[in-house]
Amino acid sequence: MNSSKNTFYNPPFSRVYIEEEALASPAAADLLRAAAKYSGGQQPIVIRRYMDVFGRAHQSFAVQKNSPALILAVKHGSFLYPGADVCQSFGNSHFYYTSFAMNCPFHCEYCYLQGMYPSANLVLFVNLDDYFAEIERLLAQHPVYLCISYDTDLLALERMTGFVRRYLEFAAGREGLVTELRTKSAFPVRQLIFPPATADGGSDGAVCPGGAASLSAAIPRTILAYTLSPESVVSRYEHGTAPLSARLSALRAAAQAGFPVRLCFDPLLRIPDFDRIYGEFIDEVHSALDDVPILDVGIGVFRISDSYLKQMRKSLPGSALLQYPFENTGHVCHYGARGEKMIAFVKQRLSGWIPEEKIYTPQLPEGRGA
Amino acid sequence: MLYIAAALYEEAIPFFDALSMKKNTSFAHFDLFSGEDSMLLLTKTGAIRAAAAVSSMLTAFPPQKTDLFLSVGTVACPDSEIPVGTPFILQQITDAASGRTFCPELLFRAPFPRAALTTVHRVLTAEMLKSFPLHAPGSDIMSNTGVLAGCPPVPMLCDMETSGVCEAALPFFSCEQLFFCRVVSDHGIDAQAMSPERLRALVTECTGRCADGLIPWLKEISGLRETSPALPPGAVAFCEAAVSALRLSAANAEQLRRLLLYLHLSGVAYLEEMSTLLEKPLHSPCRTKKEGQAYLEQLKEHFL
Ligand code: SF4
Repeated sequence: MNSSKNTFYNPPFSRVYIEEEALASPAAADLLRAAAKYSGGQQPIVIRRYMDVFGRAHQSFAVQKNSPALILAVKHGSFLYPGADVCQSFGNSHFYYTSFAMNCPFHCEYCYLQGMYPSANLVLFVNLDDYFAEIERLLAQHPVYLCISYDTDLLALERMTGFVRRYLEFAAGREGLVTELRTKSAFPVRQLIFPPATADGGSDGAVCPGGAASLSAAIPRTILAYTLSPESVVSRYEHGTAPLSARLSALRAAAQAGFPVRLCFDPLLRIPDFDRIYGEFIDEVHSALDDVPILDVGIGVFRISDSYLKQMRKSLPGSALLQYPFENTGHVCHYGARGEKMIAFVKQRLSGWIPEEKIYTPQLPEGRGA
Repeated sequence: MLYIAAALYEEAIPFFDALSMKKNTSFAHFDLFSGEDSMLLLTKTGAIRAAAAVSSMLTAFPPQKTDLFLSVGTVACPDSEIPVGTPFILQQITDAASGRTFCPELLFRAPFPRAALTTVHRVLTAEMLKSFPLHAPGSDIMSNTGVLAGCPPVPMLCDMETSGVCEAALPFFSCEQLFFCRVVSDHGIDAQAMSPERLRALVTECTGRCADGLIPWLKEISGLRETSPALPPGAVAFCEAAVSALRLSAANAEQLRRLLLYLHLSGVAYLEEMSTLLEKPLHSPCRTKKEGQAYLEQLKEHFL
């Protein structure tokens, strides 16, 4: 996107839609206050159901990405979903995932959301308490391993939503709850614990009543999973995400704050000169994080269902990444034997730093979330 | 191509001039005017008539991905504080009869403020207009929460065509190709208060005020639309020759075409090397499909 194009589009989130049902929600009022920064004092547009905007026919995901709208909605139906057997659960049983949002502020060219959703607009669900009630119900039966940044990047949205802080307040008192929060942002996680003061003397976003003390119980059970890619991949394919160096600094800060940290080399992309670019990249990550305790590592190659890929190719016809002549097995497009070689290459490069038993490779049809 | 739909001749006059349009006599059923890269349809009044007209124009002249559609016209405004001649871009279009609402895409910085509109199915008198809300749904609730105190409310407008135009245009375009602009011409028609001549002149004045802002804006937006990248002609010719020399099946031919496109988009110089690798079959074509497929696998192995 060039700058002359930028001046033509409305700024991202400058249009806010809100469901009638969400109007009465205090969380919606907080979000509207936060969104006023982007909307330039324009009234939100009241709609009956979020699908009236999100689900319209004939939308263009790629064009909307230049200026996504914000939709505030109330979630109904299921709040948590069991992870499939083939999902990357990192050895945890009772694996579930959830999403307080639909869509992501970033735009990775390989992102499956382009194939999954009809719209690039960002939906935020305001009824987090309903999610929490559902988690409580499950916790009464067994421990829960929950990925909360599916289909979005929650940390990237934290300044606007305060959702992660609210979740951590909830999670702090729930012993059996282990959480994974995946991100490509460089959000300074100390701000989750010590929110910055605002001009009016309050804190920015949701209030954390007990401050650091009330959250500290959640920290060792909240895994911050950083998805890492070579800088050339970040700048060419992961539009809007934090540069590699910023992610590495944020990761180090998260570990220092006591969060277990996970490295996700997923998706590895088949790009020209793969061995050199990924080899140098792994070495760079190793030298930057040599003294940082790493919980574990996930490695996966890009893979996507053929129906999503068809949609994504239509949406981004100029993306070299998506035009790759993939192999198709059982409606999943993948790199075939080359993909296995790519994983083996990265695994080998990590040996000597990360013990083999800490390395996980998924068989998931497509990488999920940030 | 810029497609324009307006209900009345008087509403269209400023666009005829600005886009040098002439009557297009090849289109039999409705009044159509064409310019160099634009066409304007007169739908006449009423949502059903408007839907039929728009649908038939778009069927006869199917739009491309890079085209835009503008629906323009005059409307009544229940809020008498909003002056006649004020132009708006529509954020919400509701059909009063069905209750169906459509939210047009608002991706681009528009030259005019936003309004919501309801399409009704009869002429609105000043008396009837009094029963309409002054502002878009939710404006009051929002100001009561105090969250957005100070945000100007979004005006409500009424007309007789927009929901029909919208329903008919939707299947032909992606949402971001559609633009709906309305200019306030009255606060409810009072037939006795204005002569038909004066009314017509007023309508032209109103749309004239927005045409100057709209046309350059839409031209710039249309310049932003991107077309799909394609293989350069040399690569297309090479691909055709290779498909025939290797006796590739349709599926394998598609694999080869995709390989070339991938390499082209990746900025890899491949044609010379590939020509060398296929020198033999390009000279004396493969005798079996199997032989050709082996060459294709070799190319993939080499380049991927
Ligand atoms: S960060 Fe994750 S969810 Fe967001 S666009 Fe990239 S791949 Fe998609």
